[in-house]
Amino acid sequence: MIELHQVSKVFNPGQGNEYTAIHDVSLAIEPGRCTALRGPSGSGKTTLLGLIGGLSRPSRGRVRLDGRDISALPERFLTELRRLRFGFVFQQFQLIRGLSVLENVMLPAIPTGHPYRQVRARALGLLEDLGLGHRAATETQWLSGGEAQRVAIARALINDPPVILADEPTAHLDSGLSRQILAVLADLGAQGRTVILSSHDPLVFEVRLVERVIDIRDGALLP
Amino acid sequence: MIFQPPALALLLAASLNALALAAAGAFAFHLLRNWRPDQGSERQIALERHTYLVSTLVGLSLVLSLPALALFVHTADAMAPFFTGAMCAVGSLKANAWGLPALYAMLAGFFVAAAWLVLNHLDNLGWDTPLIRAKYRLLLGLAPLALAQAGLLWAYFLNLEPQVITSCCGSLFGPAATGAAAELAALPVGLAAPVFTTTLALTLAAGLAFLVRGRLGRGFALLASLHFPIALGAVVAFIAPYIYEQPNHHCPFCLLQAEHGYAGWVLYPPLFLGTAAALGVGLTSRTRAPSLAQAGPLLAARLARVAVACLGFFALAVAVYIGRSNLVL
Repeated sequence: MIELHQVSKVFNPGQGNEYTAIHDVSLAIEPGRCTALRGPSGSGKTTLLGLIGGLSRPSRGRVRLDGRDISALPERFLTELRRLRFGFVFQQFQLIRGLSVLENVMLPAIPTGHPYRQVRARALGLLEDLGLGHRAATETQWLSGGEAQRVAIARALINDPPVILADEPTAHLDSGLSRQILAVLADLGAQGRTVILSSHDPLVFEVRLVERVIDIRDGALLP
Repeated sequence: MIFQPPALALLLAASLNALALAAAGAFAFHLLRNWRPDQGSERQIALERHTYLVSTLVGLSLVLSLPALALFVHTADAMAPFFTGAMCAVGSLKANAWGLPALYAMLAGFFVAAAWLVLNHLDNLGWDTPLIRAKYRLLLGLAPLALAQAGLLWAYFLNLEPQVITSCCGSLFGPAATGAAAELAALPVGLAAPVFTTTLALTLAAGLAFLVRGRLGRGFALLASLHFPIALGAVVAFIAPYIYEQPNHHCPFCLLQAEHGYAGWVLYPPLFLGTAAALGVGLTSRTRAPSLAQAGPLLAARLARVAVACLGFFALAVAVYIGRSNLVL
């Protein structure tokens, strides 16, 4: 269970350009379900996902994962938590150019200290599952948008996290590719993982993947 | 003032340390008044963020301040030729009224700083920073000590006058001297040696028992802190005369000099480090925080190994020095 209690996020506090991206959000997200944050650009979806996943800390309020306050965790504990409990799929893919698909997928597992062969085998298995086995040696700058997003999903899964956070996973994809990616995310949900995604793409809400929709606007949840 | 590079380095380090700890002390006061980990208020979150910065700053400052004690004693020893009558660090430290108080403040600072560093390290091992209050309470005590250290060092070095006639260590530890140091020096070896060896043996045994059974950590710390002044007293009473091979030369500072084989540099660092590590074992064993259930005992065992190794080395060094000596007391 992920719980947010009166969470606010203020950027540049006390300065002329102070901006409140999230305002007093309280929310409980059940495990094993697919939850979507829906709202227009600039509504705070990405900031909220970042707060849920420990990528940033709230300016006020608490974020709890399975009852444990993660917003106050010292950085090294938070890093470990991010690495093992959350898999991130970013809007811009955030793959590292110059590295191969396989290396990109393996990267988050390197600090865990698991044997290299084991990590490599797991990465190859994930790429096979996502239909990208033949692209393992390709450098990521040569991938299509759909391939890049699937590599990003494989990378998110390399440490077998129970929670997947996907920020606008279909933003740069055409309808066909979007459906492919949504099918992959649906499979992850079927495996019992908690999937939380943000989107304003109507396609996301048409498919049967999403079990709960949370509307957000101007940094606040809509009733 | 005598412009010696080590003296300037000490003054700079002590001043920076005092400044850092004064700022950290003010933060500690604020934190202890407002720390509410169950709340997610803006103030609480700001405190959580600042505590990392303050702990890192204080930790770095204290790590740098630990060797300052050795540098101070070395500087005092090296300055002895500037003062008429001084033969070693004792003469330099007695060249004005601030030398010995500065030494005592630095001795106290060494152990309190070591204790804070252990506590801080332990606190950082727990995901919920379980020792944050204890850590900042200790910091409140450490800040005035750092200010006192800096003040005493400035007073000492600024008031050093080369034309002052000072007294050598014989006036403090010699047969004709009076005071606590002279009384220590006059202790019969038949009394001092058994007390020293007994407390040292008990301390080492407690350390080994802790390593084997993981219990009585506080007892080990208590014995080590009892043994420390006894060991310093034993150096004055009989270890130093054995090393000098002169029954009436009891000075614990002349041991630092080349003509005595730098014996002081062999004996003191393990004694100080071992005692500080043993105190750390006591502090680490005290904690019952659930988040430290695994990390706490591991750290305590590591500190106990350091303490036993250092104190064991100290015991061995004393035995070798006495065994090699041609003096019979």
